[in-house]
Amino acid sequence: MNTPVTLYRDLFTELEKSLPGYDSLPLRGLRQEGMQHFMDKGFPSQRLENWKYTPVKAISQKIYHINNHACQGLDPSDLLPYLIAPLGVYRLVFVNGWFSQTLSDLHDLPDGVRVESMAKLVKDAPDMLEPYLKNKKSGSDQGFTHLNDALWSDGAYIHLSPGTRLERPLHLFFLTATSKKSMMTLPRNIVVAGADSHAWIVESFASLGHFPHMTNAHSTIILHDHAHVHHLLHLGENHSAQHVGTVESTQKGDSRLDSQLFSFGGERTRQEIHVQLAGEQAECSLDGLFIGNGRQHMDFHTSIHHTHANTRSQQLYKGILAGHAHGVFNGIITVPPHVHHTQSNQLSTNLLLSDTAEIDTKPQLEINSDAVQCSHGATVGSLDPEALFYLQSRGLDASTARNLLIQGFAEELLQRITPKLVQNWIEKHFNKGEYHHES
Amino acid sequence: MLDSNAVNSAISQSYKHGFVTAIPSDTIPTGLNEGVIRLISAKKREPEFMLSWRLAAYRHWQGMTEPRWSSVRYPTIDYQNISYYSSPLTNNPDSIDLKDVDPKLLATYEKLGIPLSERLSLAGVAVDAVFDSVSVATTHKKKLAKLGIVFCSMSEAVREHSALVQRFLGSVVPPGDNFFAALNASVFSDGSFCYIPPGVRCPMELSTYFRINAAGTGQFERTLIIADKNSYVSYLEGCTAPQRDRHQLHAAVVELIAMEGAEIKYSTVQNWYPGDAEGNGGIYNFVTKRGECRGDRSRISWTQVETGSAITWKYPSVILRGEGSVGRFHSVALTNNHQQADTGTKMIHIGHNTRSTILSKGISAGFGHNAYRGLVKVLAAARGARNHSQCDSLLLGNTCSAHTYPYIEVKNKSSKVEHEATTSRISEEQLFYCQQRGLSREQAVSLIVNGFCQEVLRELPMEFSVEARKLLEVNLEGSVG
Repeated sequence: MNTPVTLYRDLFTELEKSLPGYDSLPLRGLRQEGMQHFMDKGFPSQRLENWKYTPVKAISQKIYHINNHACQGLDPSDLLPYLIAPLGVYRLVFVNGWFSQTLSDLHDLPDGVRVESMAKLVKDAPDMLEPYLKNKKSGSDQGFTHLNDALWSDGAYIHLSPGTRLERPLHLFFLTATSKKSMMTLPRNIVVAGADSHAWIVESFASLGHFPHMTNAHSTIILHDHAHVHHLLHLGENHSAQHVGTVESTQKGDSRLDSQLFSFGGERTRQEIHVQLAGEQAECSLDGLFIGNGRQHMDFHTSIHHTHANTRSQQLYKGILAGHAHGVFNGIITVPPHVHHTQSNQLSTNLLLSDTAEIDTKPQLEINSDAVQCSHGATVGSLDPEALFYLQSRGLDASTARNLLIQGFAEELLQRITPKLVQNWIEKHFNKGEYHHES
Repeated sequence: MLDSNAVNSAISQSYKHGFVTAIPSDTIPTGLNEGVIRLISAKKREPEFMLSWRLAAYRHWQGMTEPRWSSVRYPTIDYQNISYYSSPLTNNPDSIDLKDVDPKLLATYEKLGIPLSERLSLAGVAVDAVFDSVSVATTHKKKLAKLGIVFCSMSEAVREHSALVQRFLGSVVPPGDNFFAALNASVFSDGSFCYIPPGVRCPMELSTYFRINAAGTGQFERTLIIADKNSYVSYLEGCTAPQRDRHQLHAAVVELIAMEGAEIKYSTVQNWYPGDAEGNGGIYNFVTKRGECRGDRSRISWTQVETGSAITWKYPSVILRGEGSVGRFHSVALTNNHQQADTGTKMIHIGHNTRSTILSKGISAGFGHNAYRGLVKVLAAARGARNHSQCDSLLLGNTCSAHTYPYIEVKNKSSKVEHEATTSRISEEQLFYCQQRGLSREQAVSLIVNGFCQEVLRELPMEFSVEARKLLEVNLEGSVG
């Protein structure tokens, strides 16, 4: 049977030896285990509750080729349009899934901060990585994650020793140079923030050229006591790209995670963010802004698990959908029995700009303890005709008025981005968004 | 034995409808097959079309599997171990005259507090009471008949008004809609049928009272209400069952059809036996309720107060097909001890300018598990649709749970949908305030819970509203500690 699943198995058999970590028995075992899980479960189907709105078939049926070496011949100037800023930012660049030393810039990293390519690290110190690779919490319906377990190529390993601060943002840039031969890249990142450390991490995805390709990414973020990590995810691949990504974060006491997601690109995008508040006073904030147009599909799944007392979480996801775009937000907050004094807020607001766009939103609460404060909300609507009229009566033309209102809708999230450098960069992407041209 | 007496009185205090009426009944042996369905149909002297409808549903049901997606947990039900028909033996099975009804039966209803005879005329409520599987008496029939209103038991409707039944039965909940609806379609024994002719405003509240009396039986009643053009009807449904240590299945189907300009108000006070404090016994209430606003400007509203049942699993829904039609859902669901509820609604917006409101209040205490699951779906054609949903949960104690699963699907830009939900417990400040005004802790909790449910309770007709308040109080007893 030549199903996609068996084809990926064949690909795995063929590539296994060339993938990082083959020389380390435990790591090799982990890959094989991942493949086995993938073989058992296959890709998820739309019949599963969590995949109900995702056109999984369209994503998984196509067979992608997997590159086992970096793409050469890119010039640093090719990268310029995608960079946050040429200076003032640490940068790790991955081309077609593999680390590129020449394009990266890690000058002046402070002491106690270790930033490396995963592929390199598994050769140098495989034992160090094993626990992080092993302790994944993905559920049973995560076929894509299992595929990543088996076939991941490279990614960033970031380790902040206790008390270190990364003053400049660290940009992890994943670029796919597309060609007629559609390719799948499988990055795997690990961030370990030691006690009292602080960092800004920007993860961004883009493509060169307009051919279809697929990204299957996975990031693990571990925050120790009092650590504070800003994690900004920018999804800006071309309009024939498929993107499936997962971020898993575990937070110890008094730590704080600020996760921000900006999704503008891709044909079909599904991003999951799972947070475990596993220490008292841990706090997280998950923000997201997605803009869809044409036939884009954008799908966001968040889960926040309050396993400890006195933890707090808040979420704000905003969607702007035009054309035939389809947006999905699915967020779940769980509080197990006997976990007290948790606070959680969740809000999903959505703007539909056309009669052919669709939004499916599902903010969920699973509360098993009584000493909680929990609220969630969801709204779907369009631009307020009265507001449009008001602006036009003040002399603005229709399209300016419209853009102003859309910008106002998104402003709240754009304002929250720090530092300024990154904020300007995201605003630039937002402002060239394609919703402008449609009515 | 003094001890057991004390226990018994304590139990009957918490569920005062838990008595069994010892009257001879005609209960068929347990098990389900085509023969049983033919037997039920024959006992009810149904026309041929009904039998073939039942058989088709049964064949469909055989190919279906029991749904498992909900958050309720229960041991596998053995469908062959249920008796699908139980009828109290009366002198004349067709009697509608109250004098012919077994006095014991009437006494039962008396105990339940349903004013079936004289008191009823004063209250101005027309009642169709369903005892186990058979409709016992329908009051006020003549008065209603003058207006052209048909209000009778389902079995009578099948015989006397077969054209209406044939036209509307299963048109909102098709026989193969879901596992329990298919089971109901094949074995339903009775229920209420109501038809309001065009332009008629039903002068009194119509009411059905369901009671499961016999042990080991399931109750599968089917209710069909049709409100023709510009008519209005308000309908009440109440339910009780005796205490048994075995679970009993109740899988009803309710269909509402509102034609142009018509309005149907459907209220339920559900007080099935919830099982004892350890979770033994009680009713499984797996019901399919759906209304269709077929005509323009029609309105359907569901109001439910769910205090009973070991498990409540139902989603009274409205299909908003007619232009400008309105659907409303008001619900209070209380789960105490080991009760479970997975309830909510579906609002399907199809017509232009359709509006819907959802107001759900969930209260969990003890080991109660309460889930709100709702769907608001706005199709591309439903321009200008509007929905507002609010789901609040109140938790009493740290062993209970409240889950909220709202699904919102919107496919056009001219619609506005809002959803909000909160989960919290009664704050110490609130309790303190009430207590320093001289209320006991229990009274304070009861007051706060009543206030929490106020918006829903006031949607109920007066008599029911009072009953619902009392039920909430009784069911919360012992949950404050």
